[in-house]
Amino acid sequence: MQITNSGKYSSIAELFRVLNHYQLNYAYNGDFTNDLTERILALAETNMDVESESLKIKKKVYFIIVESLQNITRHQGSSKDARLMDGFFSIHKFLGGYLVGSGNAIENNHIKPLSEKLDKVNSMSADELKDYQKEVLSAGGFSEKGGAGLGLIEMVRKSGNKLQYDFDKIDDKNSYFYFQSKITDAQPHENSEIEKHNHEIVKSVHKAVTENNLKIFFQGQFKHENVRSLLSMAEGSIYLTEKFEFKKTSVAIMIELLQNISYHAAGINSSDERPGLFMVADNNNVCSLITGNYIENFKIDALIKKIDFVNSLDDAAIEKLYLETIMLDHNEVKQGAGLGFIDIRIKSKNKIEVEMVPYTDDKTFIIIKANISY
Amino acid sequence: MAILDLQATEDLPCVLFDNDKGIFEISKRSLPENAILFYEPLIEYVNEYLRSPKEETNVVFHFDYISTSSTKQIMKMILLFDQLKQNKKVNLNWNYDKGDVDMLQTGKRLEQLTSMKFIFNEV
Repeated sequence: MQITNSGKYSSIAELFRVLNHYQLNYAYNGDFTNDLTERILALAETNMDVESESLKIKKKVYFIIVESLQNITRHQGSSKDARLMDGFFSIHKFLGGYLVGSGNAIENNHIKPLSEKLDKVNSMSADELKDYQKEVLSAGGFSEKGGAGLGLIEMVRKSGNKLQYDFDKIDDKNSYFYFQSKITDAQPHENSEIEKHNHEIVKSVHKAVTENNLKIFFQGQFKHENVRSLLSMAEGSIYLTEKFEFKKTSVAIMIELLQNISYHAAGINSSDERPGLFMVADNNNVCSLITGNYIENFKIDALIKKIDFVNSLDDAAIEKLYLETIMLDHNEVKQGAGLGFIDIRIKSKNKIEVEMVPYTDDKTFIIIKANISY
Repeated sequence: MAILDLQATEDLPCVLFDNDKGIFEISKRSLPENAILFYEPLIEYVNEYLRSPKEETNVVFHFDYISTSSTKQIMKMILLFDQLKQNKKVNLNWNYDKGDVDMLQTGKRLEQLTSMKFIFNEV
């Protein structure tokens, strides 16, 4: 597959296809607070539990995530320029392991010492790393900015792979620093896209994410416990917490969209799977909450009809439909019974958008987008 | 019947039902995995209470977030209190956070489906 990073994509489906190519599981672009990093960790942990990862891999990945998030929060700038201010974090899951990426702005005069530090730990054998770690520890270690490379040494040792990095010049003073660490199990899978693309993965994904104004990306299972962690993570983003009314509306809509996937999405390999997609994007004061999931083809007509109908109604008519729907058979096994889309339409005050991507003969990937102007 | 006292969790509400005092309170978040299952015992409790209700009943809802599937079940419960109101005094308080316009509107919508006047409190 030919992948070009051509700036802004015309459809969510196209953007998703590109990010999928990098086997992106999670990404966050923006301001990182300690509260948010805790929520990201909780989400990663639940997600690995849901995916039934081995304890060994889980512990390693968890450690690498903690270190990567710390690197972002420690070096995060305080500028009005989003390119300097925003940190970036991503998790990629591929056959045989994980890749954890991070990005943050650094001053150009830090490039040389940082590169030297990274090259040094990368050049060492396992035994040399062990000795070096002892040496740094006994020397009291914490010389500059709390780091002294101990974290980097541990990252190489725990992941079993060299640390990959890159710099992108922003201006005369600053550059963006890309950093990625790969955690692999015993057998390397040479066919993995992650193996082929190697060092520029985080950089490519960061470009696609920023050029398409994505704040949050999550792809995985939408079981109830995962939805809970995902919601908590999204709520912890500064993007939402700064504006109370906007936050209330966004979270309420997110709840409906995410529950929708956990109730109705079709599985791919088994019927109790709930694979899906969740994204938050922001374009000129319009926040888009986007979900994607598989659906059986025979259900599409009814769903599209429902959404078209909800979209076609004026304010008075949609209020009337809300009241009628809520009084409809309360004990229906299907939980929402259509109230969800009505609620989304009322709260977002915008039409619900739909994109469809054919998947197999009997299933389609359906993308739902709710837009909130603020 | 014993007091029904449930602690709030990340996605389940705080519930305090006391039939002796005629107090029914639900607050925080209601995002259960299965709203029908979650609300079934609560609605059953209210049904039981209706057999020998107090002269005055105080109902308080104060949600941070409520899923539409929960809203349906809450409506079902409200309709029971609406019945009770035919011959007893019922105060239904719909509390909402300051500035939470969505929650106020949800309350206003549910009110339309009853013969009651909700007491709206911005807190």
